[in-house]
Amino acid sequence: MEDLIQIGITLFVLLVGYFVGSTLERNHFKSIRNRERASRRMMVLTIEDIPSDWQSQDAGLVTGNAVVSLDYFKRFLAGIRAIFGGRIKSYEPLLDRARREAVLRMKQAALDKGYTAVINMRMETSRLASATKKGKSTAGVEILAFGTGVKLAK
Amino acid sequence: MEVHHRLPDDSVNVSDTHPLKEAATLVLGMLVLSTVVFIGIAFFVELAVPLIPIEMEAKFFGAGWGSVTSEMEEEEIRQAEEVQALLERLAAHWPENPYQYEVGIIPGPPNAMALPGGRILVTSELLALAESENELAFVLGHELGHFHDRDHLRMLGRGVLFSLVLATTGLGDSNTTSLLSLGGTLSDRSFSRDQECDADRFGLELVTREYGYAAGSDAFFHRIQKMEQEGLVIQFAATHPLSDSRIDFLRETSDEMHWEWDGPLLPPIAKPSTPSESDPE
Repeated sequence: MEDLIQIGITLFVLLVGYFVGSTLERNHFKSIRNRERASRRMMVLTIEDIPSDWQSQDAGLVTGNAVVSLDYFKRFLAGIRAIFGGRIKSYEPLLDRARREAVLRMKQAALDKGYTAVINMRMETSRLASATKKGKSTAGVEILAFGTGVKLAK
Repeated sequence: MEVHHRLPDDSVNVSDTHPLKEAATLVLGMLVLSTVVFIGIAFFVELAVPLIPIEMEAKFFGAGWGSVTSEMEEEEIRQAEEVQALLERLAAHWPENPYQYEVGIIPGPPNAMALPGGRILVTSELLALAESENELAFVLGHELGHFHDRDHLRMLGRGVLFSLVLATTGLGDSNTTSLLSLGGTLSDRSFSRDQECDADRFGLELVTREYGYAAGSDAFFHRIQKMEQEGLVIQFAATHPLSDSRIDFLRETSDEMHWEWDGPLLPPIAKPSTPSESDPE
C-alpha cells in the first residue's frame, strides 16, 4: 500500500514534468525558429579574420548566454541512462535549445550595438553546481556564445 | 567572399526518438536489471542458507530477544508456556527438527512471526481472538514451516544483500533507486508468496498429524479476511497472499493429500484470564 502511494507520487511528478516540460520545449523551439528566420540577415561566422575584400567600420565584443535546467522527467531518464550508458537523448533537445538561444541573444546584442555581422564566434559551456549535496549535483548548464561584432561597409 | 544567409540546422543535434518511448525502454531495462540482480542474490542466498549452522543462527540473532521476554507480564509468561507446549507437540511430528523453540508474546494485531534461532513471536490479540486450539495450532505450524525452510534467514539475506548491492554500486542515492527497489520488491513478493504457501502446507501437515484432521486451520484466515473487509488490517495483505486464496489452497492441499478435514474443534488455550481491550465481545 505504501509502495503504491510512493510509486503513484513519483509517477505523478514524472508525468507533470513530462507534460509541462514538453509543452515549454515545443513553444521554445517554435520561438527559436521564428527568431532565427527573422535574424537570418545577421551573419555569424567562425572565421578569425575579416576577409580581405570586406571593409569594417567598427568592431567590438558581443555575448549571449542561456542557462538551462532539467525537468524531473529528463533527469529521471538521464539517471537510468547513467547505468546503461549511451546517448542521453533526453538532454539533446535541451542543449540544442540552449545553444541556439545563446546565439540568438548574441545576435540581438550585435544588432543592438549596430553591428551587421559577428565573426570569430565561439561557444563555452559550464556547469552550474547545485548548493545541495556539496555542489556535486548539477543545478543547470550555462552556454555562452561570444564573438566579435563588426559593422561592415556596404 | 560571398555569404548565403542560411538557417541553422534544425534536427541533427536532437534524436528523433519520442521521449516516452525512450522512457519505456529505460524503465523496462531497469526493472529487468533489478529483477536479474535480485534473482541472482536469491540464488546465492539459497546456496548459502543451508551452510549456516543452527547454533550460529541462534547466537547471531539472539540479541534483542531478552527485551521481549523481560517485557512480558506474568500472565503473558503463562500464555507463552501454554503456547510453547502446543508448539512442541506439533514440532514432535517433524522428526528432523533441529531447533530449540522459545515463544514470546507481544502486543499487536493478530499475527505471529518466526525469528532466526527458533524464536516465535505471537501477538496477544491472536491469542485473545482464537476460538479453538486448532486455529492456534495451524498458525504455529505455519511458523514451524518457515523454520523448516529457514525462510527468515533467506528473507533477511536477500534484504541485506540487495541493500548492499545498491549501496556499493552507488545507485543507492540516485533517482533510480525507487525503480530498482520496485523491481526488488516485486520479485521479493513473489518469493515470499511461495514461501508462505510452502509454510501453509507444512503447517497443515503438522496439524493433521497431531489431531488426525485439519478442521479449524482456515479459521485464522477467515478472521483476517473479515478484518480486511472491515478495513482493520491492511499491512497483512502486503506480504502474504490474500486470505481467500490461502483458504482455497489449504482445502485443496488437504483434498489432494487425502487428509481428513472435518473433526471437533478443541477449546482454545492460552486465553487471557481477563478480557483484553481488543476483545470484540
